[in-house]
Amino acid sequence: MQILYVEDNPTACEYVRKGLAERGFQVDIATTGPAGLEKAQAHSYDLVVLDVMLPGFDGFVLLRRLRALGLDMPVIFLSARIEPRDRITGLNLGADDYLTKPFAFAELVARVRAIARRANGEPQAQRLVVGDLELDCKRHRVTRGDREIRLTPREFEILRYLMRCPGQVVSRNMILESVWGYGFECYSNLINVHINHLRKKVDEDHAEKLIHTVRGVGFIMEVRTASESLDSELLCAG
Amino acid sequence: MPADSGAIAAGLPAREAQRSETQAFEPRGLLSIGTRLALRYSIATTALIGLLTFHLYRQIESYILGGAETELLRHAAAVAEAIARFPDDPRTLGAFLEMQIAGTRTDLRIAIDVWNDAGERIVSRDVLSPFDGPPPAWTPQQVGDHWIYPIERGAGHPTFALLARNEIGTTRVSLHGESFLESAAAIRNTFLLSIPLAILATGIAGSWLARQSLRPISEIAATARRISASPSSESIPVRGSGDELDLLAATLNEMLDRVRSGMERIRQFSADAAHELRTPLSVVRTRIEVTLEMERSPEEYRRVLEECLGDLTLLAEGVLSVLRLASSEAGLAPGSLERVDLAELVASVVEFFEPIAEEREIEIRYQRPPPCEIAGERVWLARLFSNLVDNALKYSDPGSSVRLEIQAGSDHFAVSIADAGVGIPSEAQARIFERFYRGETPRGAGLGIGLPLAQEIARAHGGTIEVESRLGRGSRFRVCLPRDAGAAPSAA
Repeated sequence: MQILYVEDNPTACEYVRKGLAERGFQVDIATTGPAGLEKAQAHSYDLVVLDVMLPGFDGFVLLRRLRALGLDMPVIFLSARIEPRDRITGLNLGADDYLTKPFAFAELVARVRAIARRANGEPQAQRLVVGDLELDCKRHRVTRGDREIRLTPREFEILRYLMRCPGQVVSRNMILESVWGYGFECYSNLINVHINHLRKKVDEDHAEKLIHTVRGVGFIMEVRTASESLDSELLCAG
Repeated sequence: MPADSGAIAAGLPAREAQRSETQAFEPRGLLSIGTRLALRYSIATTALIGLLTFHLYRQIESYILGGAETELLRHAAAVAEAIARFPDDPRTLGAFLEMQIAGTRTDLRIAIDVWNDAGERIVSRDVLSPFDGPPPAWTPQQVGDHWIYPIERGAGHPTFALLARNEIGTTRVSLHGESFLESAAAIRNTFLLSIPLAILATGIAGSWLARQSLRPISEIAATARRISASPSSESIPVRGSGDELDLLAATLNEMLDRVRSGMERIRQFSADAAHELRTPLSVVRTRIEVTLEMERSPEEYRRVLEECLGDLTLLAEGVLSVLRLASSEAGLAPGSLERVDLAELVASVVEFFEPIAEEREIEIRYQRPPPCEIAGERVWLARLFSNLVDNALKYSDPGSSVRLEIQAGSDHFAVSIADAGVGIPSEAQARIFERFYRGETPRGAGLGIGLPLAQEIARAHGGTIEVESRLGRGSRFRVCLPRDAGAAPSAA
């Protein structure tokens, strides 16, 4: 997967590139708005990560010009501007996500992966399945094996979000934003409580665990036995 | 961010430039209010004096000429009497008229002639009449009146004449009006001469008056300039006369106070923020420095890096909340207002905190009312209510409940969040909205930004937050938000 990262701070570029490269992404760097536009036109990137404040012209202008040229690759903003209206501006221009600095690198990776997956075609299935857990979007019904699980509306939404991308790390903020919208970011740690409630209903009394914590980042949904689950959590904590 | 720090650094010279610009301003003499006032005053006064003078002159002129008319009438009356007494004796009549004239002022050069209807002069006297020919034809429709006295002016002579009809013909009495006209002219000249004098006098008086009444304004401006250049707490003196200038001085003083307290708040804010962030920064720094002082095992490096990451995450949270507070103080952007249903928003906040409350064995009670729509920013309002609910849960005891309620007023909604927790000591109640204020909290609270942020958000929406609290009984926060926050003033 090829990513263009437009950012004028060289140190920021270096480590983001290194981190993404170590996870198997190819990253090109541009340090000004015009340079970013030129590179985006010359190569077909799968994703553009954009700073807002850039020399030349800013990230908003760059995105507008990209779209005007008919380039519709996904775009993530990485900005130091925390005003809600800046986020709204970015998303209204057609960006797929808007992260504010300082961000957790793992958060960026989770979002990049989520967008990559979405670009490959989002599952529009009415029924989501992970292991023996089934979620029926239409009838708002969740079953594990042959037993029905009763969830609150919010728990249902969290589970649906997790089940849409099994095997992928989902950050707390991603869950928060998708289920509650913006404005709760100070309390992203409290998502743990919601997940624990959910986990109790979904995983308790089952040898195969489905919801797992990825320390420092968020959660992942996949089939693991109890011992695997313990191992991986120890590994993360290691 | 380099762009950020650049903007801050660029802010300082810009402010300097602005200051020197205000100092360079001087009112330009030609256009100063004083000059314009004086000019308008003297134009108005001159116009008034001119009009009055003109009217007065007309009155005096007609009075003077009326004097000539009276003289003519007196003689005409005498002639009429004489004609009535000697209708058939022109000689006697002539002598009589001679006598009549002899007693009058010689400078008037009074002449009397009587003409019959055939156009012949019956009586005349030696004094040369200014009129050569017979009087003009008598207009019959005027016969009915005994006395008719149109005044004629002799050609080239300042002469007045009076014609009267009587039994034997027409009597013409005439006199030289020079003296009358001369007095009228003298008066007119006096008036004409006085007008430029009046213009001059009103101009001087006007500019004096204008300068007198404007001087306090110049003084106020000078004081304001001096004050704004210095950080002193001096204020513009109010003279106590209760006039417009006092109002101006009082208004300026209010503005100065607001600017000063704003500046003080910003100064205090950055000082506090820097102080709050300095301690964790120094912790990270020391940790890294000490670790680097000697060779350590990879495990130890890893542990230190992880600890640093933890500290930096907290620090980043701190910076973010300070930034959020700062940006909430800037007020709402007019373009970013949307319809926000408070009933729905509060419900979603409650849903968010429900499991947390459950874990702490606290019940959240909220009866969702019908939609309560206001114009605002949803993200900010979500922060406001989540702060208050989080706060209420933090200070509640297990087994108690937190109650949320929305009351609809005619022009506002009041959202109240009440807990039955520890309560806030009365001396702390006034301070809980201060930045970085942390009372004696039972559990480790954050930076002391939550409530100030809530207050700033309410203020940015044109609303208020009030708190009632009793120790040991609990606290009740009441957020009033106007339905139409679009017209909200930004935080002053």
